[in-house]
Amino acid sequence: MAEKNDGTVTVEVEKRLEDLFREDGESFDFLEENDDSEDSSPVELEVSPDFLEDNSDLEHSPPRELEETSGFEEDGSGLDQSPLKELKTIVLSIDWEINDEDMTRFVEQVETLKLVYENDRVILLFLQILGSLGKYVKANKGNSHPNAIKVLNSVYTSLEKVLLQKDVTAAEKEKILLVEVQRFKDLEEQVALKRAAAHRKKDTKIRQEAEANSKGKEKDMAPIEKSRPAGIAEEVVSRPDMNRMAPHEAFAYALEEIKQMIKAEFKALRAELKLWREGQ
Amino acid sequence: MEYSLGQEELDVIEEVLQEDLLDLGVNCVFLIDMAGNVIANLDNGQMEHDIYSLAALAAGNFGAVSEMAKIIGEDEFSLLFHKGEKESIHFSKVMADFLLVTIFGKETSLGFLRLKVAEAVGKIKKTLEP
Amino acid sequence: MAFVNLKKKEVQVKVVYYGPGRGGKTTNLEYIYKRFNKRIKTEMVTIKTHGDRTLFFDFLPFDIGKIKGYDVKIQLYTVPGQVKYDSTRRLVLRGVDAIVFVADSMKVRREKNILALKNLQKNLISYKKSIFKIPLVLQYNKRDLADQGIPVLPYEILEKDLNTQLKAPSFEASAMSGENVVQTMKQIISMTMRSLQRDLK
Repeated sequence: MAEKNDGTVTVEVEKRLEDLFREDGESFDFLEENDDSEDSSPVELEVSPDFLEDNSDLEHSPPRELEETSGFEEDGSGLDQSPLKELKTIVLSIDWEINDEDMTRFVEQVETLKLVYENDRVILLFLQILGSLGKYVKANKGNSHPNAIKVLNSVYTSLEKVLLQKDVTAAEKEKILLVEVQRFKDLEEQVALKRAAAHRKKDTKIRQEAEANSKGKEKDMAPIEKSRPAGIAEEVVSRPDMNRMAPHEAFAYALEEIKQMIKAEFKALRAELKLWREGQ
Repeated sequence: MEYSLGQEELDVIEEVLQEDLLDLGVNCVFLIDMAGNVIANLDNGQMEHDIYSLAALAAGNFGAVSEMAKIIGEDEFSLLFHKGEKESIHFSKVMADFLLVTIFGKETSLGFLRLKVAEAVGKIKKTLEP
Repeated sequence: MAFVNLKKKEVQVKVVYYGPGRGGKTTNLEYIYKRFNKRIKTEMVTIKTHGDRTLFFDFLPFDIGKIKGYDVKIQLYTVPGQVKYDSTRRLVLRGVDAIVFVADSMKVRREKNILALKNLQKNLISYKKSIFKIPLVLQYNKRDLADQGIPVLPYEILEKDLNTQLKAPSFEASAMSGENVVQTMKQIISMTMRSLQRDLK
């Protein structure tokens, strides 16, 4: 095969390779290990034929990551006999994969547990928060706020602690609940902000598209701006410091807030649907 | 023989990776082909990983696991994910020839990440499809 | 398949060193790495067994800088040569742009060289590539063994066994001492870039 000079690329490549890989006549004894000051040995990933044995420790050690993110009790004391067993299975499953089936099971299980604990206000409140979160994630899936799952895990962990740990006093239970309620409300604010930002972005896009199409239709954009869901502004309100309230007042307030939040959610959803229809 | 991707296509891909994954809080995300070539890569500014070596290993790893799936009678595995103490790594196929690799920390839920990855993959497919 | 990034003006090229087990594929890369890693600023990745046999692949990436306005990134891979790792070899071959076939000059390895070349042809076909069309260079390694009294195949025999139809450039080499290692690599890179050049506009 005759090699022709195919042009400047070959020349350029050959010149570059010559520059990079000239051997200079300097002595280099590859056969002996160099005593270069920097470590120039290749990064080796060695696979031991006994790697199963090497990793046997890992197989038996508790998965610390789960404890840190969701604080699950690994010894399962009392969980096997507890009504929470099924819910825990679902929550663990959601950690790996979020799908319609598991989210439906989650919401249904929460409803079932509400009946079991209908006389325990603390547990009921936990379950109401979980139910709300479950419905939110189920409805929004990938559009959910990233913190929604984190809060769900956190609330579940606290619920498990409150139900299963024997040495938790009533006051401590309330305190744990209040922390989770606050977390839930923080999430609610974040969701509202996210929705507001998304609407602004959408309005801007619609306006830009309309301007690109025809200047004469600008006046049609005004109704869309005005019909931004009023519910969003209402959700972001300043709240009284629940730490200053008496515990029973704090519960009642939290319960009422959750009811209001669920109402606001539906209102916002309806407004979004309206916006979408108008945008069509 | 070779293939190429232009400015517009790569801009779209990078935007998807930024909005759907990086903004979610993942540390690093890269799109590669099954030969180990890096198509696009983005990180949170704090990563100093050797992306080219990672890409070669990721392609090899995914390829090896795909072969294992066939041997045991599966078309493919639905999840390839390695959990680390601080960082974990998730792989997702994009059509037959590409791979989306995501490196994320403890604060990101795997279940939620998989939802976002699926969304991102859907958008990238539209750009890559002829 | 080489990837051309028109946005970054970058080309990534995959060269695979193929051949029978213990033929010197990894040694080729190790030589290049140890000799030039500071100049070409690279790290080498190897996945091997405790017995120093390549298990999955070796990988050595480096830039050769701008050619016709494109940053050219070369990625050298080796495959495991042992017969039992055929699936792995096929995996590593995916998207290959060029081959360096490292043959073992030892007389006792004559048959293994031929089998390995046939194996390469078969695995390339599975990717709809032809051994006759892909940029390919032959390296007859371990020539230095003759000085130690170990029987090696004459150059003519190796050419007849392996290069009658391919008519590819060939080099006698010694990867351990570095003889013709760089020349082999330069040749394959040149050939690959030549075959891509019409698209580097």
